[in-house]
Amino acid sequence: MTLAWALGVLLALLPARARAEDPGLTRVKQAGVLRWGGDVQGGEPFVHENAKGERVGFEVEIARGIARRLGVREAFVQNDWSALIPSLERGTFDVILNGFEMTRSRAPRVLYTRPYKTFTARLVVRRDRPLAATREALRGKRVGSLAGTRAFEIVRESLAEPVSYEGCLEPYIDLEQARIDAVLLDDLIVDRYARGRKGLVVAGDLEAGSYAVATRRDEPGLRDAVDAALAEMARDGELRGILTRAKLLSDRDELVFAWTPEEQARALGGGLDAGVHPGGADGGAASAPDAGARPPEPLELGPAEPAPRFDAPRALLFLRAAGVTLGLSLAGMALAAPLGLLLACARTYGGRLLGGLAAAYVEVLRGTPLLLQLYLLYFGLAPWLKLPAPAAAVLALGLNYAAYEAEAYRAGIQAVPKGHTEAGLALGLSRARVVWSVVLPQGARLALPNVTSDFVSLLKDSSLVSVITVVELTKQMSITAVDVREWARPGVACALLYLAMSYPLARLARRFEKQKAPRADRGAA
Amino acid sequence: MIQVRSLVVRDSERGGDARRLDDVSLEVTAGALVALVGASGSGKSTLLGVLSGFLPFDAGEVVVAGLRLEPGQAPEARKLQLRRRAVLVLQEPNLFPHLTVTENVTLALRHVRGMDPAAATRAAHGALERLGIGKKRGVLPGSLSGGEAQRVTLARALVLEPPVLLLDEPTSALDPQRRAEIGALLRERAAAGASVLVVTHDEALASAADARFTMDSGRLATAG
Repeated sequence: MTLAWALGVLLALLPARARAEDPGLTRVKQAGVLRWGGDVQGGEPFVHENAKGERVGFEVEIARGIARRLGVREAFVQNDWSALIPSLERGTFDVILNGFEMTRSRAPRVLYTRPYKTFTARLVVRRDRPLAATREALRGKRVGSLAGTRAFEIVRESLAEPVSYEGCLEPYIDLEQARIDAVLLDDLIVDRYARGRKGLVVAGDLEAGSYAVATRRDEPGLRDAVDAALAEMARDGELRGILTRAKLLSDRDELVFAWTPEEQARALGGGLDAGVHPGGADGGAASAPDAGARPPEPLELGPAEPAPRFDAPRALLFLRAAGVTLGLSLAGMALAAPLGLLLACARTYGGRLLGGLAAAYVEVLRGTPLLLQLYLLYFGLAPWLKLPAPAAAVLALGLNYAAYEAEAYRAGIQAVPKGHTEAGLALGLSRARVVWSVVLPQGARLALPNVTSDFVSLLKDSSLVSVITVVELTKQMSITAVDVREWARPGVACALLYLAMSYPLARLARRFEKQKAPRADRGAA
Repeated sequence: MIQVRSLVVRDSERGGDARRLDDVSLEVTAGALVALVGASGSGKSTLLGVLSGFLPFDAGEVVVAGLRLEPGQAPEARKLQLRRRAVLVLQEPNLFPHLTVTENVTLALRHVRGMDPAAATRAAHGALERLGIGKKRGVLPGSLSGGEAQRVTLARALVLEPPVLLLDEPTSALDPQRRAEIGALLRERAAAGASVLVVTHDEALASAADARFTMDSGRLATAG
């Protein structure tokens, strides 16, 4: 028993010690800025972009309230929602604040503050194919939700077939098109994105929960400071004001204003995943919180609020994002081309060891997805090498495309007639001089059409880097599409911009192709 | 000076005791222009290949410009040393298509003879004039006729002024008047002290030589 007692004391001491040495709060105060991570693709009402490219939404105001109480300013950091936790862990930002539900499953990865808003997981179905808002009714159905959310977890737990989406709008479009049977998402999202769709109705709520701020596991000091700030905002009415102005205040939010440590413990460790139950959280397993209050009939969604238009200022944001895409691609190619040439030389002239290494590089980089390489470079290497996101993006694109360029150059080198090498050697030139002055200039020239068309591929593949927080053209398009609740026009605008960049390059590649043929033939004759 | 004694090159493709060069002995002294004639496939180009380090040989003694060659594959440094003394002009022009005519000629001047670019360009222009293609010095080889390309190829080698000059059919694409000019140029090189060995079907060029050897089935048949 002595042992157990000692262990108990130790455990009681541990958090206190950790608190005293927590670098998180010190870092935030020294930097004078609280960096909070979220995804503007989540859209209204959380954090989104207005036509001027400014971040707006109720969470921006909450972040400001917290930052003011810590005596610092706030800075939003764009990050794919599904990668918020790894980005928090690698230090891309200090806290997560973006519709981040308190769940038991995430409790081992992060520290939660008290919540700032409640939500319910709301089921929307088709009017002509109604479903009951129960887990049993969902079993075997195709149910859409946002990847990585609590709602998505519920879909899984119901033994439904989960269909994962990245944006808030797409699941409802698919539901209207009868591609899926239901959509389970937070009530805040339903209110913004499902409204005005005549064919859809609300079936009811499956669970209630709440959003909170999360910090890294080893930064309880920062958690406590943010928690205290939120408590003050709840006490002095600022939080109520923010939610009221955003037209988000619900009766359930009273619980958040009068939150207790007991409720925090129950939310994260008790029988309930999501925590907040307005009608008395009696520990009953996940059940519809308002089951009694809800009428058995499906509920109308109500008319849509007017969505912002896809106007000139928004189109300007596209131009800026196209600039990012072009910049990333140029920088990536500036790395890929020389590295590819080096690899091609190593492979052709490097002997067994160097040649083998170069061949292995080419096979590995070409044989694995660029997306995976991006994740490994940005998140995988994070414990040892913290690359800024744009640098990681350029590096990943460059290293990946170097493998393709190596093959293009190698083919070019092999296409140079052997007679040229012999003629050079016969004049007394050294082998290295022949390679440098005779073979490589011609090989690079012969490879030019392929290298140019590879650049077009790189331009398109650069859309993948949005997974490591870089907002380029495609990401900007999906952000805007969510904002204006429409895919068609932003999609076409995005496509036109890509074409404006890639078509001239494709033409150039064809011109190189035409030029090289006659000259190489006659030169060899 | 080229000295070849009892040179043997086996024919690895046919195997057995087949030989591409069989007991060939030959000497080209400094200042001599020697012609090598014979049917195609008789071994003329093989001999030039051995003398310029492109082909290994199996037995015999070979000394080129004071450099003794050993049977078998020579190390790269040795070959480089040899080729800087014995320049070979191949039958195919193989001009470098990405370089202008002048740059084709200056490349080896700069990187073998160590000339600075201005001096190399002057020397190249002189050589091109001598061969009657001064007007083409700024163009890319792709626009040259076969005869013009062959003359640039000759200029590229002659301008290096090597002690040993080996040529494989240097006049095949030229008209008779030009051929006579090339013969005179080669004589001039020999007069300057070089050993010049030229493989040719061209009777005019062969008759301009100090000596003529005929090659037949890998053997040196007659001297005359």
